[in-house]
Amino acid sequence: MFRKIWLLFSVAVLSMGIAVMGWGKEPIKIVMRTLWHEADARAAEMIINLFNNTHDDIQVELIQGGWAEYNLQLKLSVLAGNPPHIGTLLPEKIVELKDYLIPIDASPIGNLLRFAEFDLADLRPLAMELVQVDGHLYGIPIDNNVMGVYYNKDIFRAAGLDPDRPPQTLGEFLTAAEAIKAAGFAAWHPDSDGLPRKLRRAWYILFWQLGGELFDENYTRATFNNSKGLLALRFLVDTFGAFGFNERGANGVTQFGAGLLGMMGGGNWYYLQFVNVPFDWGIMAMPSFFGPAYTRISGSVFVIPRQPPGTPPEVYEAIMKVISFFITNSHIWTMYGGHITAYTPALQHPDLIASDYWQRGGKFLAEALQKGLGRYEIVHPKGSELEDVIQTYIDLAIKGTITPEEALARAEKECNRILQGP
Amino acid sequence: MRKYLKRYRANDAIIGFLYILPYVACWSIFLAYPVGYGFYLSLFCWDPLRGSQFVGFTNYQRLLFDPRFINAILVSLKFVVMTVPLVIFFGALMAFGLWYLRHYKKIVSISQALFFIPYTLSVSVIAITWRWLLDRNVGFFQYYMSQIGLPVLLVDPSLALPTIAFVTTWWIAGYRMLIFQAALEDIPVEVVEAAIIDGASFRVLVMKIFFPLLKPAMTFAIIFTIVMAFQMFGQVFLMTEGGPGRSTELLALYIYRSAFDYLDLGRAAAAGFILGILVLSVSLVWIKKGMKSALQ
Amino acid sequence: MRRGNITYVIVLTLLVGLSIIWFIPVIWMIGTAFKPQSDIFEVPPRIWPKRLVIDNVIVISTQWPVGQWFLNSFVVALGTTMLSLFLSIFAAYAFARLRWPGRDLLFVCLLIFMFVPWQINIVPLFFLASNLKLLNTLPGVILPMAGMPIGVFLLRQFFLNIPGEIEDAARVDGCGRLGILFRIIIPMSGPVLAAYSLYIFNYAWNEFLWSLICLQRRQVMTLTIGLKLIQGAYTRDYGLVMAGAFLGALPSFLMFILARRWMIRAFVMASSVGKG
Repeated sequence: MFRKIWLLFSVAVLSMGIAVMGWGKEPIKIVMRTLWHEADARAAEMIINLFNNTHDDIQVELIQGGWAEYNLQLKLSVLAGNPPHIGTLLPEKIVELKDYLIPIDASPIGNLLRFAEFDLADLRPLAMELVQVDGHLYGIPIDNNVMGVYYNKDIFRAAGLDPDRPPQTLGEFLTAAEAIKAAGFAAWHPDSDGLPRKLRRAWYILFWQLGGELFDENYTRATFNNSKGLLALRFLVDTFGAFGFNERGANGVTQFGAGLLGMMGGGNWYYLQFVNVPFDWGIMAMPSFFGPAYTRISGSVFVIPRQPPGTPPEVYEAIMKVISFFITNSHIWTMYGGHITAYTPALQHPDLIASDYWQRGGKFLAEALQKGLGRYEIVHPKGSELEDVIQTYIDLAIKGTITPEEALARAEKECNRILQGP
Repeated sequence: MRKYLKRYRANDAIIGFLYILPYVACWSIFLAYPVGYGFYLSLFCWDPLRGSQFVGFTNYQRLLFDPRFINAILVSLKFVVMTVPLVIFFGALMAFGLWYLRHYKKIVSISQALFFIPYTLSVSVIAITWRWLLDRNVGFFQYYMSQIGLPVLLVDPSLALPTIAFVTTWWIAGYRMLIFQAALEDIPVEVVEAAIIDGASFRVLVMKIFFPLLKPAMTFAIIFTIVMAFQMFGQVFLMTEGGPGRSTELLALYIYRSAFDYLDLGRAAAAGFILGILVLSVSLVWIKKGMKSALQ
Repeated sequence: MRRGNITYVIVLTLLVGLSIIWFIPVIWMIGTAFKPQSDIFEVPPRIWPKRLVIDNVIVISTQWPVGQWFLNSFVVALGTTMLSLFLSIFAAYAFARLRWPGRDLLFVCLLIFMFVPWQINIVPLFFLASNLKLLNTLPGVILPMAGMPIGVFLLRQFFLNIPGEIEDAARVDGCGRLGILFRIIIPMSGPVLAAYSLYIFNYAWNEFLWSLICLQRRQVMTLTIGLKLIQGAYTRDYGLVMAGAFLGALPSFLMFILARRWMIRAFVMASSVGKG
């Protein structure tokens, strides 16, 4: 009789114990919402799967995609009280959305960097440039994406150029372009498919290389309607006109893919578009047309949207753990996604160095970044609107509808009007 | 007798309310409330975290003085003026052709399907498809067109919008074709054939028989297409991004950019309402016509 | 008679020619779906690829939950169609045949509100859906679409054109309002119901903007926005996109084929009723 009771009692205690342990082991669920698609999304999935498989106490639910409407969705979800735990933003947008984010060094439970498993100093300075606002850290940079140049090695050979020494200075560039033109191909496309947004970026690059600044320090007025802006725009217009390096309105992506274009400016992500083409090609850093070889960069940053009040400290700790894991494994990110990780130690990972992307020329893009040759686009709450204005007029100038002088004048006028508005 | 009718009428009212209730409930919650709230939003400078400021009609004022907004309105009007007649014309043409050849059942069936299929595709698919087809280098249409000297359509500031109008027509004319086909089914065939045998001219046939029959369907199709055309933006968003310059920046695209890119919801809402008023006024002419025949 | 023959031939050729040209882009789209990756940038361009591969379709169906998306789209489209029909038939009848206070005013309201574009509804709808716990659910997408007034307009118009004598006759025979609705009005409205169902099914299937905001978890996405997920922000794997588009267009097309047959049958019924 007593034995039975004793048995029952110990079974009860044992099961309660197991249940309690089981409850204790209930993993913390972290929701990570990214704006990534395709290749970078796949790379992110790989990393997160690795995390989920190696951690029992934290499980990450990864939701990806939604590039165009991401910012609005983030805002709305914070307002509605159900934000994701981790978000990703373009660094230029942090200034706009910072009120919706938690400063990492001043979170509801103090400085979250104490939970980080990496050293902040190991993150590339260029990537860290835009994540500090008003003295607080609003995000952890993941990578930079870079505008480089894709060049067709077979065309280079046909034009009598050395396929392993692509042009790096203005003189070399013009020589190469003329040679390619003489060989019967289109020589140069400044930026991928030639839609207004891309042409604007191409102009930025030339303008920056000349030492120009788009706006003054406090964004009170436009400062691009000057000789530098004009020279940059004229160079761009002539590319399609007087120089004859390409036709107006050409789509560089389809041209290059079809083997008709010698050199195409484009972001590092085009690597995946061209991976299967039937000709030999490589990637080089943006040449120096007019000065230091600045190129246009952007990136991705991990941010923590404002969580509803009463969020337990373990959640914040888990968030930092996930971010740390991602950062320290970001060689995977670069290998499969193409963007250059901001975590310098990852750039030396043997897998990455051996990969096709790196060997084809990805390493040159990383070099440019480490040298600090990257510039971000407009960083201002009205940035999108200003850029829409600028690209309209750049596009019209290149299409030949208005003169470069007029284009810059009109763009300046409208930008100033927008900046002075509410 | 009167008492009976009176009770029946009161009965009618109750039944009327009951019948209408489910629909109105759904409509007021999910359609009317957001629209009303949207109007409310348009009177503010939206900034939910720091406190939206009531600015009255300032948003509207600023818009009407913004050359970019005015341009968007003009582009939208141009687009509607180009697209609606094209869509109606092709829809009617196809419907008429199919009716005329109605004895060749197999051919009619297949042709009908071929015309209609584009309508079943979503806007992103048709935009990508056509963008690719009109690409200078690898586009099946543009490549050969350029070989014979025709300009590159999507890149030319004066040709881009008509091109988008054509693509839109290709996309949606099929559904109008169905509408007109349904209307044409009502034609008394024997009368028409008798008239043909009697030597009636084509013009008489069209005026006396087809037009009156197609009128209600046409009115409906026109209003419908106008409303759709004003609200479209998927094509320009994916094919030209509003370019070259601003020649294809439709008002709906401007609204989308205000809301999603500039995150300026007050302005987007105000622009949306101006668009609504615009659509209403353009359609009013046709609605009046439609109401007249409806009340007959 | 000879003149008639020649006209027939001309019209026939023109029509067939037009329909073939009309269909070329779709042929290209299908071809691209089955084109090998290396042939994407082919010059000079062809309508139909040299080789056909099913890699794209395989990649799409294995890497992404396309089956789930398909099902979701189907639920949304069918649900919207049925709900909309149910709500609109009753409402349209009430507008067309019954008298009650405020009827015309309400109708004008429906009309006016219809002209406001969707985009600005998104934000209030978002908060509404969030409060009603309808975010990331399929009903959250179905309900706003079912509220569209277009069905009410269409059906009301049609009901108005049905001669009143038929109903009076039925009423004399002792039929209640509900009976009239089900036994007379609905059968007679075959063509309109079919046309509207087709429209709303297609609309709901391709609905994009609101689904984009409302459905964020991958498992609840519909095919239209799922396909958008496959498109990169900068690059586009055109073969994949076209393969997905091909799959996505099939149901609408099938629905059209079915509805078409039914419409013809309904026409026949309608014309015999009219004559009798």
